[in-house]
Amino acid sequence: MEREAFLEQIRLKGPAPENLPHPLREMAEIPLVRYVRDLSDPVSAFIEVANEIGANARLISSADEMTEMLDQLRDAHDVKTAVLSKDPEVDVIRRRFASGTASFQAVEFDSFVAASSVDLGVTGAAFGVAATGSLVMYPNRAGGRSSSLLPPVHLALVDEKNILRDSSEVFRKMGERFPDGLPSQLIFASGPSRSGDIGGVLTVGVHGPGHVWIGVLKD
Amino acid sequence: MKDLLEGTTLRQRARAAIADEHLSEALEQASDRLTNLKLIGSSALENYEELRDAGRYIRGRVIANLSQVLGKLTDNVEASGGKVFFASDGAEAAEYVSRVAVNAGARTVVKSKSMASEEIHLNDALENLDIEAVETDLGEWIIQLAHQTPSHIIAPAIHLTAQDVSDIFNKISEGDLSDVPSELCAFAREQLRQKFLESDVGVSGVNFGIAETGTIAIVTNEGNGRLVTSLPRVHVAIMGMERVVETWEQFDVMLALLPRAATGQQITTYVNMVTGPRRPGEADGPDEFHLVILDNGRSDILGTEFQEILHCIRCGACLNVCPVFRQIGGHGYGWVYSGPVGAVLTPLLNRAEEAGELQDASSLCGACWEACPVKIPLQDLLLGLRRKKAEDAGGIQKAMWRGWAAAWSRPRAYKESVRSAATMSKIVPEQFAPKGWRAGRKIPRAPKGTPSFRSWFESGEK
Repeated sequence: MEREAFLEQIRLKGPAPENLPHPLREMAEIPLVRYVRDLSDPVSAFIEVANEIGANARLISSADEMTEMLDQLRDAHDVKTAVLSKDPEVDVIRRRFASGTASFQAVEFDSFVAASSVDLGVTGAAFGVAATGSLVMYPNRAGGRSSSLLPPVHLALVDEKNILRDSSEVFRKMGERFPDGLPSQLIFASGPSRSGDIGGVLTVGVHGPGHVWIGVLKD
Repeated sequence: MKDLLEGTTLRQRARAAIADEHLSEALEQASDRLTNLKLIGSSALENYEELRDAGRYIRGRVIANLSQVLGKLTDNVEASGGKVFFASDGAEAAEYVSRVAVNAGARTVVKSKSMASEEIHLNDALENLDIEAVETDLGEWIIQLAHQTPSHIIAPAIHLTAQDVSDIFNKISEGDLSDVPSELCAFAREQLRQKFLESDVGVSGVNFGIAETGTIAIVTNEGNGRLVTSLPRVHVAIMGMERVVETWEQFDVMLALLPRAATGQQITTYVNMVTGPRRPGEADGPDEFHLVILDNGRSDILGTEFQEILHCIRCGACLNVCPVFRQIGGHGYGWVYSGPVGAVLTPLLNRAEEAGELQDASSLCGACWEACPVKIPLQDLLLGLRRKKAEDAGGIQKAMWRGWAAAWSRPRAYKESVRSAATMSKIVPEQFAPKGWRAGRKIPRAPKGTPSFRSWFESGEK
């Protein structure tokens, strides 16, 4: 159907009758979402919430702590191969793979084929959202969509200064966050992929990563 | 999905559902679990009630200005490189999506959950062209393999046990799968991942269109929504025309409400916001993005007393609290949408004579209104549909109601009618009461010699 005809048909319908039992009321302004949880320290709140929803999140303040996390991650999930996204945060560990000091192999992310055959996806995140434990990611930053999606384990690195209080800090400041326009895909990812569709029992990893590790990089 | 509306009655479907003990137990457990989670989820916010009011206001504003909002959405989708198709009915929508699939040379289409696609019978249309349509939401895939229909909007396969799922999967697996959910889940991952990697077209629904930037948002917990919009070369999103907001500020409120009302989560695992196809330099993502905006009867609801049903954001909260749904489940309603929202939408979007009994599948208790994150007064709408049905009904029924209304609006006539009803109930044999009404009821009979309430009250005795 033609656009104009379709929209005209809607326009002609007119407003709903006025004498409804529960009339609609005007609202002066759209309220903010207010949380019971104390979010005054977004970094610790982010780590706390992310761990509550099934991720393994921690603050990383030294190269040794990074090594410790990578070793734990390798041992926990038998990681032999990884794909590295183009997010700037990944540069912190890219050198290890280049110099051969990392404890597993890594390839660069150039297509979903690269991401579909490895044990681990290493990406950055533009933001962390404290109220919901969410990672905010997008393809023009990561180099594509699937490095945080296809591998069974996902490790995300996010700068401490990019931890935001809540989603309003993104959604109500879109112009400021994306001055050059929106990315083709904006992802909020919060914890591991989950499903309750078999017998009502929670299972993880049916499509997305079943295990999510998060390193919050201290300045 | 198959339409059950044709050929079965509400009563038959309800009876079948109630006779299924496992279904009853699973429904009760799932409904209780989701209702409790919703309470926990909403209590994590200081101003959940204020946000419900905001949600109702936002939805009302959008629906009142729908043609402008859709115009803006369309302009912005096109500006970001996407294509928009306006479908006045299901056949037009299914035909467009089929054409896109054929042009892409698709042999397999992967789908993330979309009720709009069920409404337009997309899978049948694709299969007629020898294109395989694969549901990738785990629950939807299970019931697709079992040739069944969803029993719950949020948990479509809740009526099946892990053993049932194991039996269904074992028909396509070479090995012997146990009934351990994690093992079954791993099998599904492997099977469906292959489908994702080899499909040329991904079809998704839309939870919200965001007009100011031409974005569509999809929420999922499993991640299939991300896969559908990341791997195939073509992405088609199908959106009921009312599923849109104007601004990101409005979206922020709706996203605070939807997952909390649906499953009690603070946010779904994934929120996926798509603006056009992939851009130069990106390693993956679709080359083509199509948005299908579907009317299919919705514009007939605009401007009527039932308009507020178009505010619905499909969270399923009204299902879980509904005393009728909790007994009969999704199968009882016989079409895509179930529970109180289904009882309102189904008669409005289908020919009334096919769905004519559904508005009766409610106790009008108002629990749905209380649960609704955007405060749709579902019981008013159900009552309105019943009234409309009675007005449309012919002859005897209409005359009876007219007589009843006349009698009960005048004191003297009321008194006489009650007295004569009392007398009649003593002398008229039970068989003369309408058969449908009599089923499951016992006609109350006062013991001989009992005075009427009126005569007792007037006598002043205690």
